[in-house]
Amino acid sequence: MKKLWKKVSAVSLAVSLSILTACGGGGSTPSNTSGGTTEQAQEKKAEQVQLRWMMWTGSDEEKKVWETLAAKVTEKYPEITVKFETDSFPNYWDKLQTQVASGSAPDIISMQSLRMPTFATRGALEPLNPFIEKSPEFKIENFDGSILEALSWDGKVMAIPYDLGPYILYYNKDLFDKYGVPYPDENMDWAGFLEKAKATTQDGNYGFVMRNVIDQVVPWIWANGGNYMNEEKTKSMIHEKEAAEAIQFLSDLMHKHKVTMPITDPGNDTFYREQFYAGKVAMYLDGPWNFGNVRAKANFKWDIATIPQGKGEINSWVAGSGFGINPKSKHKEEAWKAISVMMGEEGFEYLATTGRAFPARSTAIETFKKADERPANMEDVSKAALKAKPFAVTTNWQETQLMINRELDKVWFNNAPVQEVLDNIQKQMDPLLDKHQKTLSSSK
Amino acid sequence: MSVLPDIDNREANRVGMMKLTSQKRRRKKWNSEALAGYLFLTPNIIGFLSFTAVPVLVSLILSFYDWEMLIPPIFVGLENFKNLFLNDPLFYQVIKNTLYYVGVYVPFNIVAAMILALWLCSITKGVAIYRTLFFLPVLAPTVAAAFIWKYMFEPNIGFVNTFLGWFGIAGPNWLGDTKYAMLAIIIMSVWKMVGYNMVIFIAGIHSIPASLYEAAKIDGANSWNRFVYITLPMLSPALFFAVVMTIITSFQVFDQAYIMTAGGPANATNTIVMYIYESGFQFFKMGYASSIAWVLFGVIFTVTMIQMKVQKKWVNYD
Amino acid sequence: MRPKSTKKRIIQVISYTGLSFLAFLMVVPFIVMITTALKPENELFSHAGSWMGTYLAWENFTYAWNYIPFGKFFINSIFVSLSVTFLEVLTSSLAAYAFARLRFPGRDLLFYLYLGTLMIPAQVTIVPQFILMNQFGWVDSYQALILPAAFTAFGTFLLRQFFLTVPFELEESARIDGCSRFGTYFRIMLPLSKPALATLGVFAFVTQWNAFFWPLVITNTEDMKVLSVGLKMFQGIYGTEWHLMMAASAIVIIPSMIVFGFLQRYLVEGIQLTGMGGR
Repeated sequence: MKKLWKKVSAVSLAVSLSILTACGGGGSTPSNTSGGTTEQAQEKKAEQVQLRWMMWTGSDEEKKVWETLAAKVTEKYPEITVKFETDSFPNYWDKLQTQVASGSAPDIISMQSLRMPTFATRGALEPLNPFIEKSPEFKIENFDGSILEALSWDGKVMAIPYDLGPYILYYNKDLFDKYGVPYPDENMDWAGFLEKAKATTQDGNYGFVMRNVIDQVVPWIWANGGNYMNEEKTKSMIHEKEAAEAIQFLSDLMHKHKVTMPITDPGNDTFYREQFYAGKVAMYLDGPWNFGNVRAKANFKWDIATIPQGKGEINSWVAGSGFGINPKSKHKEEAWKAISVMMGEEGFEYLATTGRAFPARSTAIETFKKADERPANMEDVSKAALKAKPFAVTTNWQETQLMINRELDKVWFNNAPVQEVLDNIQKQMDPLLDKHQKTLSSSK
Repeated sequence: MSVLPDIDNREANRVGMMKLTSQKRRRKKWNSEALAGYLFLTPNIIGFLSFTAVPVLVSLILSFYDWEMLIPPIFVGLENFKNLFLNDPLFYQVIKNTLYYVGVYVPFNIVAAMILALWLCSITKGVAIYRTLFFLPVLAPTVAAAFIWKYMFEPNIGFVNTFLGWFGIAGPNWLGDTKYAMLAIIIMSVWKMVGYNMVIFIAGIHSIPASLYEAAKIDGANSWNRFVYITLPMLSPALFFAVVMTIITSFQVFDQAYIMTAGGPANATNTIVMYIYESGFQFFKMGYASSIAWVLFGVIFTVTMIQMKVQKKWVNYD
Repeated sequence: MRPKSTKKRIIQVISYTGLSFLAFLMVVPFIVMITTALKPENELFSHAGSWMGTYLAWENFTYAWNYIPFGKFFINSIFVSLSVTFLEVLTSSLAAYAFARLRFPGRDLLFYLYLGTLMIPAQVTIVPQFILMNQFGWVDSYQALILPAAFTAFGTFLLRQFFLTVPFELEESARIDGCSRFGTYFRIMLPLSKPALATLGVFAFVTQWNAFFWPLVITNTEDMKVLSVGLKMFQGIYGTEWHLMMAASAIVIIPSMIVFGFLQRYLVEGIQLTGMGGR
């Protein structure tokens, strides 16, 4: 019986090892859903092809928008059907990762610019340039350059953007009217911002709300002429004077002037938005991708403005999302066809009429403006874009950003001395940047 | 086998029976008994080995690899464990947080569940209603429960601070305060899970033969004596199960912390499994995550083994 | 029926008052859930201090029901949970009988192996498990939802502990009367362990009903999704639909309550069989 036991353990060991090599070997061992050679794909061209497309959604309406877009592919190419799969934003990434790891990722992958490097360096995205070059009718030149850059890696486009956004300031007009405070405009500096925030902090309402994440802090750091890391992505800069001043200013808003709403739900990614929707906050930072939701949820008049200006030249970052192709897909050609329909001019016209996301293709911007029933000051988006640059990230940005967020928590929640916290961040950030550099050099 | 403690002392119970059987008969009996044992195990063990044991084994192997999930694993030997113990201050922080959770939650839960079970067994009317009410939170999906409690922990308008206000206590910013966030999660967890152990205890109490109590009554034992000399010893296997399982699961606390605070603020509610999840699913370090998981295994295994050894002193299988 | 003494009466009143207070505290979150589910969306944070909104927004339940394909998810949840419960109770009780009553080489080692797997968090086994399912071609299928969840060490451990408390003598006499091992398991052990089996049944059902991470990862299409995953969909990227999530939660909790209510009867039956204890 001991022998039998040994046998059982030997077998399970063997199975696990085979799994290990199977998933490790990547494309070399085709599994049921991926693999197959390009020749086979060519032969199958005339056959019916079903593509899997996975994308996050936040509401049923959003889901319908994407499904309509997917149906347009079949309209143009009857032999292609796109099967739309969806989940909420955080769940999407857990699933995508599991599927990529096991070689069963969908044919069309939705990608966010801040996470793209993580996937691109590890070979989970197909470079799209060969496809783009083959399709002049796609008119890639119509796309916004900054977001195309943010979705490119090593000079190659990894995903076709559907939206973009410079970070902007949303404000509740009703609250400004109620307390007789002039609306924010592009000339508002930090002192002006503080003044307005103070004036609107009344009756349990607050002048400002922020989320305890670095994304919300970066515009202030840039506006003050600082940065969180150097251009080469080798050294932390968050502990330097300009960045420290910016963070001190935000800390003072919260602890000294008490015009920033205390964060009572740190586990909620959308706490700051919910408080703005509820009409309890005068100002907050977000991207144009949230127009549709603010419009649907805000029970008050609102508008947008640029982020308060400091001594720096840049005061906003650009990010966006798009669609790429799984390198292990056996229907890459079809996947590109599908993307070129969905992200083509017509596709964008349709997307723009729904008014959900600020279009990455310039031809659709006019339609998008018209779709807005409660028009916000769209000119400010363009103005903000002039003073914005892509949010620079690394191949291990998730880890780096979470470390920074958790350390900065000490400032927001415990009113810890800013410089001390920032020095602590630098100590942990430099090794992470080293690791990023190592990943880069090994992937080339 | 010598390293593992004998699972229990019930072999002793059978000594009397064994004495009656001859050496030869015993051997034959052994074989048929062993065969029956394996047959009884077969349906469960096939599923267990393929769906549970193999993935567990793979995670052990992965703990010696650097696996970023999107690219092939690289064998690194003990590197992961070395980094974990020598270069990772966060690891010690999450261990500290988890120990705090286990240390407060487990005794709280077991004692409360025991009191509720005994209490419910002492009343005659409305038992089913009360049992349902206390068990209700177990039925609620964790996602739902966590969201309800987030709403209740809201410092200005939530129920918790309103309730404290009735007694003149000004409640804190529960989830946004590094001192209180973990406590808030413990409170929610006890609410959620106390009914679980309560039901185990109730089932245990009801399995106690009534004849024992009748005999004790005739001997004039009062209710406290009946509890100490009959209920507690007879309940000890269920109690042992509840303690072992509660410790095992609470060392792996994740869902509540994940939804209520996402490990924040400032890592105050970051637990071992939370860190495992982040390392594996957000930082793309599955090998490292596996090595943390196996350190956690070591901790839980040691604690459980100690319980297995100690149980002989108090758990009564008869 | 002799009249109760005043002292007993007072104890009883105190006992029930205390229990009722505790029960109230346990139920408060559910009251919060229901009242929140009935609040108009724009009053969620402004009027949260008061129990009720300005009017009862019953339409939230309709919205919640239509927000996700509730009916489909419902059927999937019921089917998967019942299948897991059935398989788990059946196979665990067999295995537990072997661990509790039979002696065979390797038994203790196997038992520790069972127990050991409970100590490894799912977060690191999920990817190997997923790869395994992918090799079988089972991704996005009922098999993948049911089978990995049905053979846990938990059920075996739970039932083993209860089987150990059943007195030996009953089985011995049955064995002497010529009952086979399976016969003793089926005719003696199972009927005597009804409370434990019902307990495991409830636990298995509830655990599966509420299981989240594995169903999330292993299913792709809406045809295979379950309610617990659907519930998370109310937490969007741009804001949580608190009122709808509460309404949906209320709808989701009801089936678990029915199952529990149903199995309670068996708990009571078990009591009658083994004789009333606990006093």
